[in-house]
Amino acid sequence: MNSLFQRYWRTGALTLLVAGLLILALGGYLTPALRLASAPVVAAQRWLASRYLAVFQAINSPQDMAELRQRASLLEEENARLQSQVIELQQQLKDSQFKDELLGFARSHPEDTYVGANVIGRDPSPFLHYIFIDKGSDDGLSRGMPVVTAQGLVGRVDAVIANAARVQLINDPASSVNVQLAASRTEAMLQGSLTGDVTLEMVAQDAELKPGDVILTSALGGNYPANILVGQVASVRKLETALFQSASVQPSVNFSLLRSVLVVVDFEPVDITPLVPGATTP
Amino acid sequence: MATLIGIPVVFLVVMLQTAVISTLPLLQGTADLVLLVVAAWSLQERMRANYTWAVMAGLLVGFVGKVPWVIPLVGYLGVTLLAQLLRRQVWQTPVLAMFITTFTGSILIPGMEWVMLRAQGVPLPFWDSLNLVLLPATFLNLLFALPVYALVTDLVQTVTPEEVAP
Repeated sequence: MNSLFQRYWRTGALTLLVAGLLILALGGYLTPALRLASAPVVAAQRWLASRYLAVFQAINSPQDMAELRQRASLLEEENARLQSQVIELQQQLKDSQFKDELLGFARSHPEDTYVGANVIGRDPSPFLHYIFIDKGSDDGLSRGMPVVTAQGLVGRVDAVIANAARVQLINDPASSVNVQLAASRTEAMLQGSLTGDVTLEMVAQDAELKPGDVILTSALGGNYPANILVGQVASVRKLETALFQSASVQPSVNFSLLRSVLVVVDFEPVDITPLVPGATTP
Repeated sequence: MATLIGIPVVFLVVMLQTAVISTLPLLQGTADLVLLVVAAWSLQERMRANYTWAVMAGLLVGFVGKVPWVIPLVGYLGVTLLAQLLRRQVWQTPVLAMFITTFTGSILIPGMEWVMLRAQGVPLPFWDSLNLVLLPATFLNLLFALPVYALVTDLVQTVTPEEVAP
């Protein structure tokens, strides 16, 4: 018995030790110790791997870098091309949306005949608010014809050549448009200004005028057809001592962003000059 | 030669003015590219026929714009005359002459326009015209004077290369 014990005690002790360690490991009691022991090993492994990777890249980099640079430049090129394509398509979309609106407006007003035109320039004088359009007498345009967009009144044709025309905007300082308030049918005069702001003048003192009132053309004077939207009253100025009240107007058309317009070609302005007392007839 | 070059250049400049420059206002004032080109061209030592450019530019702007044609015509001729005088007086500093011409033209041409439009009954308040149109337009013209002068000088050097003695 003694001889058997002496013979196998080391094996037994080792088996017990291993079994104990296994039990401790499976029970999770050795985790901190393992973490402590593994930390330097992992650090060393990481260092070794990074050095190997650096050496590998150094050896293989020239061809990879060249290839990557080439791909990057190709992708940049494609990106630039696609970006310009996106901008171009956005521009076309805006134009087509604007033209769709104009088409919708023309369809919703079948009583008038319209000619669509693109805005191609503005008057060189900073004192005046005129635009140039790419349609002229060849397309049936003549002086005095009203110009509109889907949003409302733009102005009227001031001068025409064969394939272009000059349009006076309603916010030009020399422009006066006879208008009426949609709700009360009160007559007034819309006046442009140097700054491009539009004001409502000559409104009778007893007329009810409030912000938000819709303004339409009145056809008085024969320069514009009736009931074209012009804008809305923004603020009212009423003085007890003044003969008339006035108001600043928010035009329905943004004149600085005009791209395309419609010219009402079947409207003939009425020249009332001979009826004005003191006016000389041509 | 100068007249031949002038025809496309003046057309191009007037097109640029109406299609681009007039849509970029500072307050209500816009730069006058035609004025700048006429002034820069008139200050070039090598070029003659300067008045031809002024007449072409004046007539074209007068034809395109609403302002009576006589205003831009007289204005650009006046600018050319001033440029000729300055070319003789301050010939060593053409850039200074360009600035003086630009400043004078920026006051002279809109000033004449203002007087003419007022005479026609257009309501243009004086102080608004000065503060919102004249001063910003002058500022823009002075800002663009140097680049335009450089471009026109390059154009002149391109079309009239300096002769080298054999």
